[in-house]
Amino acid sequence: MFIQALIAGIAVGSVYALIALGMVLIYKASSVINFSQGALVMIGAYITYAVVTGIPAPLWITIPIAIVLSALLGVVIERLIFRYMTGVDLIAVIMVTLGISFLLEGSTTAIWGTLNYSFPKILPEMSFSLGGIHISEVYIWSFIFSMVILVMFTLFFKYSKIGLRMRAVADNQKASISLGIHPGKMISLSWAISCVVATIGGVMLANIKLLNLGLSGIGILVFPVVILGGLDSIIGAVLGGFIIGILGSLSAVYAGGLMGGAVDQVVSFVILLIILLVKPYGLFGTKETLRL
Amino acid sequence: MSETLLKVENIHLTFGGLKAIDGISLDVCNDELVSLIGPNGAGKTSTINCICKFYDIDSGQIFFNGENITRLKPHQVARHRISRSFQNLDLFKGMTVLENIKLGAHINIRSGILSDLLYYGKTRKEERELEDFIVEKIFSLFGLSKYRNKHVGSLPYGLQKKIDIARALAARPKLLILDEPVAGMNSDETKEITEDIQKIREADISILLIEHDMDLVMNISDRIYVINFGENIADGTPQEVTANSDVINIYLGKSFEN
Repeated sequence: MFIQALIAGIAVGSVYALIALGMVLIYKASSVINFSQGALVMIGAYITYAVVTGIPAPLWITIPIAIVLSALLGVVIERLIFRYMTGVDLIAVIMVTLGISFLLEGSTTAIWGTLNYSFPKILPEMSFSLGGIHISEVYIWSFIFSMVILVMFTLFFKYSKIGLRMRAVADNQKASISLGIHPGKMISLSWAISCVVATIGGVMLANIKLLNLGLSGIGILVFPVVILGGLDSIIGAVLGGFIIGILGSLSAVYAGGLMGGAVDQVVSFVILLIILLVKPYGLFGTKETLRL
Repeated sequence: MSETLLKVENIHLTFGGLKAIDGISLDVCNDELVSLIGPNGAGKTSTINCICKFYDIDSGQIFFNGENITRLKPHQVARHRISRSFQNLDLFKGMTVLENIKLGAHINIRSGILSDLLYYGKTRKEERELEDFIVEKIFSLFGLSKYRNKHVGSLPYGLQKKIDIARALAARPKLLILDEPVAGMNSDETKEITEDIQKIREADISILLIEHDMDLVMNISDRIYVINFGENIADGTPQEVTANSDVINIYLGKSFEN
């Protein structure tokens, strides 16, 4: 029981980490706390569903199409809205991200209605047994995909020129401009990447559960992950994802019976509160220092 | 007299009614080291920020290499081979020394996003050439080799100042703008930077220098512009400027009279 819960926690945690990565990217590049990340996860899953079921082509064609569409959505959001919001009060920016969230949820309802859809199985079938314990294959695949993508992005930011430029804009916008880097382009790119990882996360969640509007609720669940890790730390997002995922899963198993269902969702917020009391900048976040 | 490289013509800049620059003009010729001096708040850094397009000027014109660059976007300035260092150390603190300087040199290489993502062909070759250039030219000039993979934020102030200049130089500029390169440095460090600046001059790079260290300014400048309250006060060779009574009254003080 413990092992099974642990593995489920790791798998879900890796998806959390992926979605949190998207939030961290946008925050690092442009100091926008993106409350629409959950809605992006949801719309990404719906877009993928529409493309996969609508285009009569194999998955290796349809999935990349869905990915490109998600990236375009990110670019459009940045280009049409956030490009004009530099220097605007943080609370106003947060409200705008909430607005985007409502807009995306509303449009999704308008197009697909409020029904549950069962997502076509896009992850290969694989049954797994570990010492007599059965492990659901979607968990394994979610974990593998999340890890591969996280490693890919780490390498991208460390070694590629574009990745280096994106880090430069996140680190010091003034200096990066003086070196000829167009900050808007890099911020656009971070929105595109953020939407792509949200879509991948959404597809995996839709594979684990069902495809419905409730998917956007993941945004609220991922928020503790981001705060726990520190808003501007990619490694923090990854570790935060695992911690929240595992604790949620274990508490569902061990405290669920005592305190009723859905306790796992509360646990992550209790952890969030405790962390914020002790470490207000998260486990890996950058502390603002004031020099006198 | 060699050709004019940078020509700033009668520029004006206001911040909400406050006149920061009120008609400054200056020239920098090829291979020349020109200094811009004046009391704090005179508009020196504002002038640089106008040249680099961080501020949009209200009126006036700026030419570089014969081209009108008055209406460029700030990120386009570097493409015209103008580089700058910063007064307050705007380095990428979370990155290594090599990464900082690489970013300075990036302006000179172009390859598509796709080839960059896949890290093949031209990208790989360029990357190797770039690292060779940085290690051979920039690192050896500034003595930075041993700090190559150190995080910039952890290094001492004097070294960070050097890295800032090295990063600007890695872009292979025609004009290098240095904003108070020795501010806050001790005499040894100042001497080192002075030597570095002289080495940069030997590479046929024009320099526009802002500095309060008058020994440094008088020693290495070809010409000096003095400004105050956003206006030109005087200009000329170090000898001419030190002999100017307005300049002595406003800025240099009586000790420079002899």
